[in-house]
Amino acid sequence: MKKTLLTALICATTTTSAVFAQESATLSITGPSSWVPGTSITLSVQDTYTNLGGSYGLSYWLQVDTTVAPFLTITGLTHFIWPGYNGPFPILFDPITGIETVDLGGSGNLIPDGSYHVTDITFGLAANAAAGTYTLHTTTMNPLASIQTDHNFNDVGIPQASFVFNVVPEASTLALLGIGAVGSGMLIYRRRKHRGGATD
Amino acid sequence: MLNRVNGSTNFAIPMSILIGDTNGNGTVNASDVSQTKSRVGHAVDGINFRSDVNANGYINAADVSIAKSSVGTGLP
Repeated sequence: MKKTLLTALICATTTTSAVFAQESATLSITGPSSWVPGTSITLSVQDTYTNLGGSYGLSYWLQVDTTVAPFLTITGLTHFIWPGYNGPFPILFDPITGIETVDLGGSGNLIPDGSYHVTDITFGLAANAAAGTYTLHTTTMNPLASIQTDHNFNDVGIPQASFVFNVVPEASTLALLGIGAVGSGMLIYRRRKHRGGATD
Repeated sequence: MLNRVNGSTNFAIPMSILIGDTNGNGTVNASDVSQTKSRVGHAVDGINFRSDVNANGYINAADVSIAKSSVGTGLP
């Protein structure tokens, strides 16, 4: 009797947790964190979702600090799971909001719950981008809220995913700056020395 | 539903239209596009009528295209 009751309790608990299982979806962005002006950089986007009964796709947009937005473009997209936007490129970031203008997600067949490498995003960073630390993140506000589509075509909100990157001058540029600084220093030193000699 | 309404008082009933919002949640995104894709070729009925985005009586690639082009729009 006790055994039967225990079994029934376990079954009820399992069923209840299955019924009330929380739908969730997250994105993670990975790639190089040091970006050199005048080059291309590719980031990978991993999509993980659970308790959706599968997904038909996702929508997400990226936002970046407005200071670097005019110098950043998206020059290519590779979709691995669901087909999505495939041009024209480049995609620009709005200089006022810092948000790019295209849904970077895709849609298509029902793909079971799991974790998938969904997209590679290639960025172009202009040669005159200022050095600094910047953050790219997915959008969460309507109508550009990033969402995963569940098996009933309902939206499941995707919490903000962030990626921090540093814009660093190229090594040769740094070397040139160094040479310039040393040269200027030497010039100032020689002038001071010359001036000092003249007064003696 | 309005019952037993008499008189001539005017009142406003807000109505919003959002092209491509096939699941009727106030935003257009991948959910609407994939839902429309899944209904392509189906006869329009009382359940799937929102996927006939151009309201021509058929659900086809044109409706998917319109939904796609509306992605990122939403009701205020």
